[in-house]
Amino acid sequence: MYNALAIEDLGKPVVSLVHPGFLPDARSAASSRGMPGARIIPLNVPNEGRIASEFEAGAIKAMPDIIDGLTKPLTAEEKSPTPRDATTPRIAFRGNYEAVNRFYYRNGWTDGLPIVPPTDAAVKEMLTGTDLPADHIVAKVIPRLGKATVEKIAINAVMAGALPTHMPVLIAAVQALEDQRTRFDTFEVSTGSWAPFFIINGPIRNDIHVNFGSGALSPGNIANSAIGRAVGLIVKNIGGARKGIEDMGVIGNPSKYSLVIGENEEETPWDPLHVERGFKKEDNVITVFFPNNFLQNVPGGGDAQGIAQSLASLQPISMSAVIVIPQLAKTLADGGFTKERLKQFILENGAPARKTQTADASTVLATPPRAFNTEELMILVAGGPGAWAATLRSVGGISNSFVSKKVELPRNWDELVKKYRNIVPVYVEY
Amino acid sequence: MKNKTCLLLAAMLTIFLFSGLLAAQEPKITVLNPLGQPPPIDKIPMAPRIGNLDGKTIYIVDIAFTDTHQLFTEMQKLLSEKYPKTKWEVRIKRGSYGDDDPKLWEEIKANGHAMIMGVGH
Repeated sequence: MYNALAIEDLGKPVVSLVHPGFLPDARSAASSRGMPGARIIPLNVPNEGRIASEFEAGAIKAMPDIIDGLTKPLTAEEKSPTPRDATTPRIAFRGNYEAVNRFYYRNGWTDGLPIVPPTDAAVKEMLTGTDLPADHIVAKVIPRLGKATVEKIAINAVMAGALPTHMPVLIAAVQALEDQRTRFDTFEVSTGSWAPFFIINGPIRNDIHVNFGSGALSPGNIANSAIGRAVGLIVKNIGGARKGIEDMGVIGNPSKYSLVIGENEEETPWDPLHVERGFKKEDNVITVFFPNNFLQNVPGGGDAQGIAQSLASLQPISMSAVIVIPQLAKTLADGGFTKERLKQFILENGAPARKTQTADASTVLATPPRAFNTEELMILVAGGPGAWAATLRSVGGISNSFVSKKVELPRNWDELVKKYRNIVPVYVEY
Repeated sequence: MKNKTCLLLAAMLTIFLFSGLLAAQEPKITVLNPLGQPPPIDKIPMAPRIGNLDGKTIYIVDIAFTDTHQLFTEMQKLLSEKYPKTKWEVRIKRGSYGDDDPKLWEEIKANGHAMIMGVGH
């Protein structure tokens, strides 16, 4: 749509053709960029279909509207659209706990789960997690470029159940999403349901209890759950990515609730991710990319070669993270595998040759494995006792990069950690 | 029996009224708005429509979404048959659907009268 508006701005009329299911998305894009009256025609052809007779039928049906869109004079409303008030009041609502939750849910401001009401007091406490002023703009979040002020981040953080000690990580996460190299502008809104995967490195992992051990990707730890959840609410509420309107993920992805992990820097035989990416060991860093695919296997063969082969068989492709538990990482390292050598091995032994067919199904072709470079693959050491390995892959996307941002701590960090450090689950002994 | 029914109804009414009273006394909280403020929107005026197709050049631009080209090639064929006095030019945008193509826009600015753009499906 943005291209269509740019051409209109050059004085050339445009008609945009979209699948009916994408009409709200197209209208939202057009209005957010200043042309609510853009002429958008629904074309009833199956999504990504290939049948010529269906194309012909759809095109013939839409043709009168296409021609009208190009030739009929502009209406008064199209020439001068009625301005809409887009200001957001600071106070949203007043009511009891249940009424607040119903109100937020009905407005589409939640992820479907109850939220912690963002009262003034709760947000003020959340703001103790940063030295930045409340009105400081951290980023403008796609798709509607909403201003992520520190206060807005704090409001969504309260809703998610985050602690003030999570604020520095959230601020860095939002900065990372704004970085063009992530291509978050495409991943968040396109059909593949990609979810942000955040990897946290540095001493902060232990300060705020980021799980990098047993069940690191499962629910149950406030840091892993609330940080990811808060980012999801930030993208939805500050960025304006509404499901089915701007977020056009076809199937959806439960990882959009939260996908956050720490790296086990204490037990990795290699440099941890952030050091590999140029940071100092003592830096606190968050790294992000957008997988939409999660596979696990039990590596076969007890030796380094067998384990490496099993990791390769998970078929990590362009932009993937391979998660290796400490015990397997040690075996690999003892067997002579550096991180770089392991990545190279996976690249060479990973995705097999694929067969494809031409549209008329008459020819079968063999295509070689898709080559990717080792910079598109990350190796993380995390997980608990056992024998599993996992890969998170970004499938069907566009060219992008892992992006890392340093996490800046407030001056009162030690006091904050002391205040919130003991919020941990204490399991009953049976 | 009648007395027992009356007592039961009275008890239910009391419970109902009491729970309503409790709900009314539940503290109310004032909560803040989580929405981000988007930038002010500068309106882009729509270009005047071309009125008549005869003698015009209309670009049909495939934004490089999956399988769009086959659809747009079919559309070009149909439009050329129905409007033979109009030139229908199909182009594929450079890169992926998320990328820009300034050279194509320059071409359309220089040589085109209008554009059809899409995915369509």
